Amino acid sequence: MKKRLIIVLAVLALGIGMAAAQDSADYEGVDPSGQTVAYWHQYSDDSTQANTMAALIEEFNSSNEYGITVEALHQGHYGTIEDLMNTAIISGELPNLVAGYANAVAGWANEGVVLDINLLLNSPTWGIAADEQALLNFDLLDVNQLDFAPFYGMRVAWANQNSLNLFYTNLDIVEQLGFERRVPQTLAEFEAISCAAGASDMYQGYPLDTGTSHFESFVAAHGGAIFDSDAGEYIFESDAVVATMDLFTRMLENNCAYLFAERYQNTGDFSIGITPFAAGSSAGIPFITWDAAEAEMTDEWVISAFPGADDVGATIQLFVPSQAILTASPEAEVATWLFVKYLAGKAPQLAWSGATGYFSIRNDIEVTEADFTEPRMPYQRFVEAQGILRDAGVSVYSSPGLPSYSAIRGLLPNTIAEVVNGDAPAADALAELNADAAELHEELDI
Amino acid sequence: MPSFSLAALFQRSRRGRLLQENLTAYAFLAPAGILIFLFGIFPVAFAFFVSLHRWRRFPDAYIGLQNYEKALGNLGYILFFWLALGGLIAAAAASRRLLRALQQTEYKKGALAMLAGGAGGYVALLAIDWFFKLVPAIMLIPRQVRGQNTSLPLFMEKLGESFSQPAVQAAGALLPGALLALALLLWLSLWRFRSGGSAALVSYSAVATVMLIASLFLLQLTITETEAALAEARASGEALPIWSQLVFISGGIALIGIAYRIFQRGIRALDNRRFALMLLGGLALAVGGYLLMAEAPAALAAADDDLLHGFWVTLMYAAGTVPVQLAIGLLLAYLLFQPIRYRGFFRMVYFIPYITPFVATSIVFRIIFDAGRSAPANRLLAIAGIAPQRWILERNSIGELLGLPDFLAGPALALVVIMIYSTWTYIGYDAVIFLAGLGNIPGELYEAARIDGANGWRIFRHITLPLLSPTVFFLSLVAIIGTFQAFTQIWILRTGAVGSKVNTASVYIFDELQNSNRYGYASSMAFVLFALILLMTIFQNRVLGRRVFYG
Amino acid sequence: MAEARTRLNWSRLGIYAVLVAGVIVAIGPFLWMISASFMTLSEVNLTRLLPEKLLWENYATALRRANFLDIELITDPASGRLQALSVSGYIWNSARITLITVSGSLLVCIPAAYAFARMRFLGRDFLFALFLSTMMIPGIVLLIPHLLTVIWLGRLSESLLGPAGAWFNNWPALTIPFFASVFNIFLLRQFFLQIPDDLWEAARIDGAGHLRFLISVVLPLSKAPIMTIVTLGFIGSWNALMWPLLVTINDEWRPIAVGLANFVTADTPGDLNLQMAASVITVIPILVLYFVAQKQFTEGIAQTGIRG
Repeated sequence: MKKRLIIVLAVLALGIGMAAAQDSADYEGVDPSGQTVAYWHQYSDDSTQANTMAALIEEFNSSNEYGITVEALHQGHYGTIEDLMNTAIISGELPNLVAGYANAVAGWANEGVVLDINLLLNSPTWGIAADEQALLNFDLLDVNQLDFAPFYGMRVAWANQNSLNLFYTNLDIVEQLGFERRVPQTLAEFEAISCAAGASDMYQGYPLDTGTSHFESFVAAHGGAIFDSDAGEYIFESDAVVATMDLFTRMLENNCAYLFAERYQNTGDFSIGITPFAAGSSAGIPFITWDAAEAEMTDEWVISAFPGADDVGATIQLFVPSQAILTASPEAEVATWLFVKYLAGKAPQLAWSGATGYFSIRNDIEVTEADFTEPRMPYQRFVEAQGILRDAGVSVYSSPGLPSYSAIRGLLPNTIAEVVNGDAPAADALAELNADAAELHEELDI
Repeated sequence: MPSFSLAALFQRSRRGRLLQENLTAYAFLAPAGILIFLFGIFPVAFAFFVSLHRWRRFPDAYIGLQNYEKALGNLGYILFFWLALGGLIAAAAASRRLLRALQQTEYKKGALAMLAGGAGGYVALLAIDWFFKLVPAIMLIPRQVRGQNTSLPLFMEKLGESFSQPAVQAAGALLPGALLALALLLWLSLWRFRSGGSAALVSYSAVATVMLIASLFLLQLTITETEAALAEARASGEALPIWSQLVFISGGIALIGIAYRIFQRGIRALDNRRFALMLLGGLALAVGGYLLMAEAPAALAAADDDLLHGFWVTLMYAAGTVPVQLAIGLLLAYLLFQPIRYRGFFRMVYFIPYITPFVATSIVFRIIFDAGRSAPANRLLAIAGIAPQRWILERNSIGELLGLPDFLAGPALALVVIMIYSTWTYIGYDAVIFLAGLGNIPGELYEAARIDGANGWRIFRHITLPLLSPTVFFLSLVAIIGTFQAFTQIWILRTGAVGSKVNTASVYIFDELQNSNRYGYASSMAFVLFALILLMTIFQNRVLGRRVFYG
Repeated sequence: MAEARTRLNWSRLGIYAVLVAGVIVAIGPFLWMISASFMTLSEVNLTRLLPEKLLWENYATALRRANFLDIELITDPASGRLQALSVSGYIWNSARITLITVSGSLLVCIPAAYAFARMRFLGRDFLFALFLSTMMIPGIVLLIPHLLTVIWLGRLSESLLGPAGAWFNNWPALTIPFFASVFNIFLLRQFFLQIPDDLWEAARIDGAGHLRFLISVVLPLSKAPIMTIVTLGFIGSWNALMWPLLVTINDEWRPIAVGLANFVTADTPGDLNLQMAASVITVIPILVLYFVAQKQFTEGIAQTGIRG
């Protein structure tokens, strides 16, 4: 009896899914006039990002020929948005456009609520023309194109910006500690300077984050990754991961690094001049600058790619914060897409990058200091950061866009903490994590 | 003759009043009853339903007891056997009461009432069965109407579709007729041929029927699932000693229970017999304990380590907060009860931590117990000449930090910080309720004791404490249930560096729910937690409840 | 005699010392929160005890940034007269939610408690035990079923009443599930049990039914326990965090605890001094209510004589 019930349910669900797919296949005759687009984003109220986005939305609302209205709503940080989406998917009370990274969006796509943007991107009526598409940086945008099962080339989200996980160095402290006044060139040099800082009276070692992104940046610096996309499996027992764990453990044991509790405390400590290094998103540059100014910290500090292991060059981790269009009526979907398309245009991109310091997704925008509009923002740094991203000598890493990655982000910090505290041997803890990851991968991704 | 008709009249009017009283009471109860059913009782049944499925955001396949097996290993199956057994015992107890009540009632009327009750139980189960066939389809309606304008016709159409599913219809086919028959039977037994014990008979027989059928269903489910697990194990060539574990563990627990009873009797018995009984009890205890020690870990071998760890953390958390919180609360209340000035002020101030939102106070606690040298807690330590601690970042247990041997490790320091926070929050609440309890103790008792020359401590020990025992009992019950459900305090003081070290069972379950979206698995674990809380409450009621002095 | 008095004074002093220590522990963190709300950011980071200078503007900034309260006076442009008042923000939402929850809870719980305390009906003890047993269920079990129930009921009522009948992201989802509080029913029942039977007999001779007796005799006697559940209900719904986060999708009804949590865990580095100011603002309404109600509140707890 139960089985039959399940079959009925499955058929029902399939039917809905197919109906949705059929709807979205044909957008040519659709009229998006008068639609309202609900947009959930993570930009804190009153921040430069939120204010700039509000201005762009206002312009779109007043200028678009269909009378489409975008209503933006700050919904807390990415974690809160993921929680909200969990319930929204169950309740059906979904927004039209929602901020999220590829992995989170992929999880939502698994539930059939995410629109394949390719359908609209290449639509003759609504899409972006080929010559215009040539101006977009598809190396970045394709982070959201998922080429594996069950997505098969679906473009689950669209980015209108990107940022980097950067390595920050306080040159004055490095020199003070008796080292050459430069950004460390290798991880060994980084470790040595951190240890010297930890041993000194004036400074602390390296503020070590137990978060997943930070860990991945160092795995990349060891020349590895946490997911092997060719084999289609997580590789937490690989050499680079083990080496990263060893580095962290050693640095904490020898007082070369310290853990911290509050979010952004690492860059906070860096900005008041008590640690030689920190790692953090390029979006944090203004906060470090402002905090340093308030604390009257006058040391010279620079940004760079992460120093690599001996045989690995400089590496950088790319963040591509994106937006997903969620399934709704074809009219609403087209209206949402028109807003996304508007944001990808040259003028909005320039305005956005110019105000916030995020990098553009367009190839035809080379942001120079002249483009920057907000007087308080430290633009020179952003130009530098952009240079790091475009430096051919720097290899770029990005996190796997898998639904399971969201769940693994919740598991990895505990494993890191367990290992660096010596509660469990690294090999055992990583083997357990790998098994859990494999289970989640099978459960969520395939 | 006239007296007879008068009696009949009285009877009728008494009956009428009774009916009226019943109906009024139900009307008074209806809003609360409906809401408690919707948000208290139905969710439990529904969560149980979810726990039998692979269920991510939406229902997936029915997988029987697999979630429980994943949580507790073989013990999952064993627990369900016990549950079924408990149901059967409850059914037997109800039947015994039923028989006793039957003996005191007129035979035909009694049989009628019994029949009505049985029918009631059966119909209730029939309705539940139908309802849970219907629920999954209904629950999917919001998903189906997503993106379309909600309107009554559309909604009703979908609702109609759910009702007309073959499985639902088959389950509901008997229901209208059964309800009608039930109504008739109830009318007959409670109204037309009513006798003194009818109401009791109806309810006992309904309870017995429900318990019997439900536990038979559970038993059947458990046996099927166990057989399936065994078959699977056999296919892969492994041994799965569920049956032997069931027998040995149940035997072990039974023997320990018997030993407890023997000791209780032995204390009262004469000397020679007492010795023999003690010996027997000791033997039962030893064998039972040995069986448990040998088999329980094996049954739990395949359990979810994180869940077991969560229970362990929960236990430490409860042991570390409840007694401290009650003791300090009682002390403050006792001092406040002395003739002092500004009592109102103190009472008011002590209550403030309880009423301030966690979000607000946790920020302050995170600053006080920060790992930095300038954190207030570390500054205090520095005054005492102790090295700074990492507090909310410290995974190491206090035992390790003090250099004690492993078995004295205790909770992680970060968990201790959370315990301090939780204790700080609830002391004021406890103190105010203790104060109320103290106020209920008649003043003459103190007078009398003082005239007898008793001093402060003796008065406290022999008068205050015994008379306060109901309050102590109430508060400890609330506090223990509270700590087992504790979630927010831990959730907001948890740091990445400490990770699972402070994960109580509730926190781990929530992680599985929110982070991995395993709704089915999370529900099954939540049920295990519920069972544990229920067991503890019953235990507390039985063992401590007896020592409560109700004046 | 003299000796006895000095000894007494010493023990008095000891009592006061313990009580004052208790006060420091109980509200020390709270007082520091207030102090820090007036500090500069670097003063907070250095965990100073007191600010050098009171920065009142922290409160203005926090109020604005955290979207706590927004009152707009809509005036007639011609005459300049006040036409309407538009109030929004988390404080306003919480005030509305709290009002509905508390009054709904009174309406539902009082009759139920009365029935359990003073009426005889079939299945009374069974139902009471069933109600009480729901208190033991861990909230985690209920989260998802509650969500689904609310969504489903909301769809039903939306279909019947139109958009105004929505539950999700509207007041019903935030309030109705908390109307029938078993704890409140229990508390009130304990109190109602103590009302002398003579009163009921007298009322019945006057021809009063249960409803009239409840309204005209029982309720006027029950100010203290009612005040107790009002206060507890206020605290509960003012501080509610998890559930409102699940069932609201925008700021139309989102309560203050969620607003505070969003403000504190924003995606950009936050300013601790502003977070403290926001926290203080959140706490003030509760403190005010508590100061007003505390006498009857404690009396209520005392009178219901909670006895396990």
